[in-house]
Order: sequence, then structure tokens, then C-alpha cells
Amino acid sequence: MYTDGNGNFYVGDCRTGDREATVDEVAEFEATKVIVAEPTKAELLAQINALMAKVEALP
Amino acid sequence: MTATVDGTNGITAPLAVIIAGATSGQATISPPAVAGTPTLTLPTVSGTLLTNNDVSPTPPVRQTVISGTVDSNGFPSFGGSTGSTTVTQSNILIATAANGSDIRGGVNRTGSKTNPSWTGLSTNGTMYLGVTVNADGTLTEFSTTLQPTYQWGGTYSTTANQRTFNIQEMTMKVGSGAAATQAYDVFVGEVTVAGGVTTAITWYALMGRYIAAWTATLPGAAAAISNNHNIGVSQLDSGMEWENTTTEFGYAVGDQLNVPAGNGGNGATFAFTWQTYKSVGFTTQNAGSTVFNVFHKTTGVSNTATPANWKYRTWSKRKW
Repeated sequence: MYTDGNGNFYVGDCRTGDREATVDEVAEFEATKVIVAEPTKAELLAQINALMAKVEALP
Repeated sequence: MTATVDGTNGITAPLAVIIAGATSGQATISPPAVAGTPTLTLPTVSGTLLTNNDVSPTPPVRQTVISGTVDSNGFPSFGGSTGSTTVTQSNILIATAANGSDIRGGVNRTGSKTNPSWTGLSTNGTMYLGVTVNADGTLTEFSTTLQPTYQWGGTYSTTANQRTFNIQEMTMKVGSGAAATQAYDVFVGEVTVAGGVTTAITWYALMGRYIAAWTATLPGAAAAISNNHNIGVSQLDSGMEWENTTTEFGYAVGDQLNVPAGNGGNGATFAFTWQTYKSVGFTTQNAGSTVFNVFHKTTGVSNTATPANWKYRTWSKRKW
């Protein structure tokens, strides 16, 4: 993984002026990632019910 | 009636006809060196015979390097070392420069040089390396701290040493400080200079096109991918494509998918590709484990792609 030194990390080819990220930097960067979890069945059903309520309210 | 000059009648073959010049020099019309019976019919209109150099075929791509050493991926590997103020390529470089059109089509000059070399690369920052294609098919190296401008159309810069290429005119001009004049100049790369010496060399892609090497396994969520296409201009088409490596969802090994930008919600999930004049990449969404969905090849049912069953690569090419 490479970094431009400004908190941006990427894989692929090292761009001119960038450098390989250290193990610590990679670990720190990965820890900052926020992966939004897939919605649960209950959450999806709640969304459907909310939508249905809007549909029912339509004239 | 036909007069045959064949070495008989006291004349020794092979025979050539020598025509003396008006003041000096001479032109020789030579017979075939080996067996052959060609017929040369002179044209019915006046004109000057073309020479080999005059009859240059249209280059495969205009305004670019069309030949140089490449590595096993097809990327430019022109050579050169950092750490000094000189960069010297290895082997033969062939570049072609465009200069608009005439009634025969595009006007181009194509030239070559063995081991071209750029000196005086000592101005800290980025310096751009180019060649001027001369009328005799030779190349003359030049360097500048001014990044060339490629534009669809518009005014050519008159700033000294600033080069402007107008795409729809297919013409390069260089500023003198007062005017912009046409030049058969082609940019072939750039160097980073720090501490008065070169610290990095980037050679531009041949023929304005790039396909990255395959990377096995699709990336996960919130992954940033970047590849250096090094085409050197920003008017680009770019994208990302996959190839199946283990059959799934109706796709056979070798089937390729072109992956457009966008997010299909409950359907296919895509990634936006971005591009600069030297790089192309994409970033995957930071949502869930389902990074990429694909539609079954025949039923259209949306499925989560198994990352290990696919490989991917980016690509870029000049729009012109």
C-alpha cells in the first residue's frame, strides 16, 4: 500500500512523489475506515413498512 | 520500338545511366541487382520524384511516441538513471509529431534517435522532456519546466517555451514571448528534480493508450486502487474491467465484464473510475461486505460476486 503522506492510501502503482506506507501507517489507516454494515432483516422490514405507510397515505 | 541496353555491343553489364547535375553532382539510374524484369512507367504530368523519406505512411497514432523499449506489461521502459542532471534513454525512440492536415490527410513528421539524452535537468520541481522531429527524420531533445497544455481548441500561449497543442487542429505551437509558432514537438516523459538532480523519471505511454496488468481477486469495501497510465494528457476515456477466472453466475472463464460507474442499489454495485493526466483508479464503497454485485449472465438474477472468482484491471486511452 502506498501513501502520499497526507492521509491518502491506495494500492496499485506508487505515484511519483509518493512512497510505500509503513506497517503502522497501514494499521492506523485501516482502523479509521468506517464500513457501513449491511442492513438487518428487521431494518429492511422497517423501511418497507415506513414506505407502505407513505403509500397508504397517498390519495 | 524498344531499345535494349543489356551489356552487349561492347557495354559491360550491370549498366547504370548517370545523369550529371547542372553544376555538380549526378543522379544514377540503376538496374535491378538480381534477376527481375520490372517495368517503370513515367507519369504523364510533371513533378519531382519522391524519395523513401517523403513517403511516410500515416502513423498509427498521431502526436506521440510510437516505438520504444517496453517491459513485459507493454509499459514504456526507455531507461535512464536518476541522481544527476542528465537522463539518457536506451535503444531507439521513434516519435511522431502532427501538424494539421492537407489534401492528402494528416501532416505528420516521424523521426527516430538512438539513446536520446536530456541534459541540464537541474530546476527543482517537474521538468518535461520532449523531442523535436526534424525534417530529415532525426530527433532533437528539449526540456522545459512548463507543463504542455492540451486543449480541444483555443488560443495558443505565447509565453516563452510554453507549448500548446490544439487537438482539433492537431497542431503544436511553442511560445516565444511574443508569438506562438508551429513546432514538431512531442513530449515523451517528465522528471522530478530535487536538490538540483533528478529523483524520478516517468516515461509517457506509447500511442496514448494503457491497459493495466490484471490483479487477481476483486477489492474489498473502502479500497482505493490507483494505476499509473502515464499517458501525459488529461483528455481520456478510462474504465475498469473484470475477467472471470472461476465460473460463476453463468459466466465462463475468460468472460470479461465492462464495469461502468454508478451504484445500482439492490442490483449491481459499481465503482467510479477517476483519472488524471498520469493516473487512473477507483474506490469501492464503504458499505457492507457486498462490494460488487453482478447479474447472472442469462437469468439476470443479481448475485454477490465472489471476489476470488474474478480479476480486474483499469484502462485509459486518449480521446483523440
